[in-house]
Amino acid sequence: MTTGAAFPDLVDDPFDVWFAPDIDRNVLGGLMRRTDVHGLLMLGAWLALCIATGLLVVATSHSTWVLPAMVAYGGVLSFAYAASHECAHGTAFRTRWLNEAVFWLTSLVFIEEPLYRRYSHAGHHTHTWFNALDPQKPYGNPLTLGRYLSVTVGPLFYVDAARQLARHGAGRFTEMELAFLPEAERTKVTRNSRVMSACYLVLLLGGLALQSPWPFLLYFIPRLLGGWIVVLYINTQHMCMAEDVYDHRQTTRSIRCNWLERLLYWNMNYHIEHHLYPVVPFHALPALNRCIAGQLPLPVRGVLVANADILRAVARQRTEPGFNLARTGTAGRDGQQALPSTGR
Amino acid sequence: MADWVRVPEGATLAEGAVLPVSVGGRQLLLFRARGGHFATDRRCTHQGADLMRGYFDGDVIECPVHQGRFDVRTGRVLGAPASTPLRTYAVKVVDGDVYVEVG
Repeated sequence: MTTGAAFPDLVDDPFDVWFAPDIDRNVLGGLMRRTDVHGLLMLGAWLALCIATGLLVVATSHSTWVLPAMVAYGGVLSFAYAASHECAHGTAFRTRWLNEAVFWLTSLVFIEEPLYRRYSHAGHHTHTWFNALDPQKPYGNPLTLGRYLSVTVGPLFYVDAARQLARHGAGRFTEMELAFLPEAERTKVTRNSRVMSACYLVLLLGGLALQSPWPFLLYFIPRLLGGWIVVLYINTQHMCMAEDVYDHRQTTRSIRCNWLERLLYWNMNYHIEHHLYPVVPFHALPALNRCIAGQLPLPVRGVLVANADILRAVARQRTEPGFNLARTGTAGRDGQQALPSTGR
Repeated sequence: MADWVRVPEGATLAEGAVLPVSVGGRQLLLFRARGGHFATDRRCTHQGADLMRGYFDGDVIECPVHQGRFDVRTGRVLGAPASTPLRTYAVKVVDGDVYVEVG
């Protein structure tokens, strides 16, 4: 339900089944406004951190200190995920070409073909955490410790990313992908996948041919060594939450983050808020949170607390496969309030 | 034969504003863009979301759920995941009154 200037509802709105908080329409309209300056500041800060930690790698390249330096640099570099995600929504910048250019650059760093990501992510927002429908649901309940570890610290992401680029580059798509990817776009995804694969191959083979360590020290190894850091944050979004429910408060988790985390993560710690209103840009999510916080569960106290909760849930799911971490109350003004049942 | 239907609230629509209207049994949106008034279907061609809840900037309406983008002047798709153009309807302004053509 939304208040404010009234207008008649769309008859047979297919998205009416989802929980929607009470928020003034005019306020919501203001929160949707795009800017370039917020995105440029975030992008500039991320690039500055990449350069600073990258220089650490260069400075320590002849000592064992290069390993922690590559973890730090790779961790920062892997947060390309966050900028890429915001650009997939088209909300990072008001200027469209800037949004698309940064989308390409950060998707290349993160290793995900941008057009496919835009479509699969649209599917994720349509069917958030519905089994067999959400194209970005790589795991479900019950989750095993082995699966958690392989997703978080293992090379699974890189193996999957390479396989997907190869498959799409060869023009092969799964049945689920064919369902959300229009025919006319598949050739573009194939072309883009080939271009991206060529970029990685040039970097890899160029480094080997020239006997240069820099492609490995400044891209491949840091992505492997530091990539788990952003995955810890991605885990908090939906892992071990309720499935097959039309309520983002139960399928999705918001967490508290400090200013540096919010900067690197482009405010995606406000993840319930993002799923409720994906058209609201990252920089307006804290303001959106202030408008609707009383109708949402309290955010989890941090990324490590959320991952510890997940590991506890994994242990409990060994005996209770259906257990999940969905909260059944909202922050409210007067403590916990029961949420209506929205399961289908 | 096409009919021109007057939209009473259209005359006072401010630039940048959107108005949902029901004309001839159809659910439409009337936009006041920089170049004048334009009318389109209200439902996104991608998965049927209500474009009235979307983001309107300049001449572009963006779907509130998946951010598919359309030029409201022509209905042309400007951004994925939308791929089918949005149906548009002719609009005319006569003596300050706004009319939408439905046929």
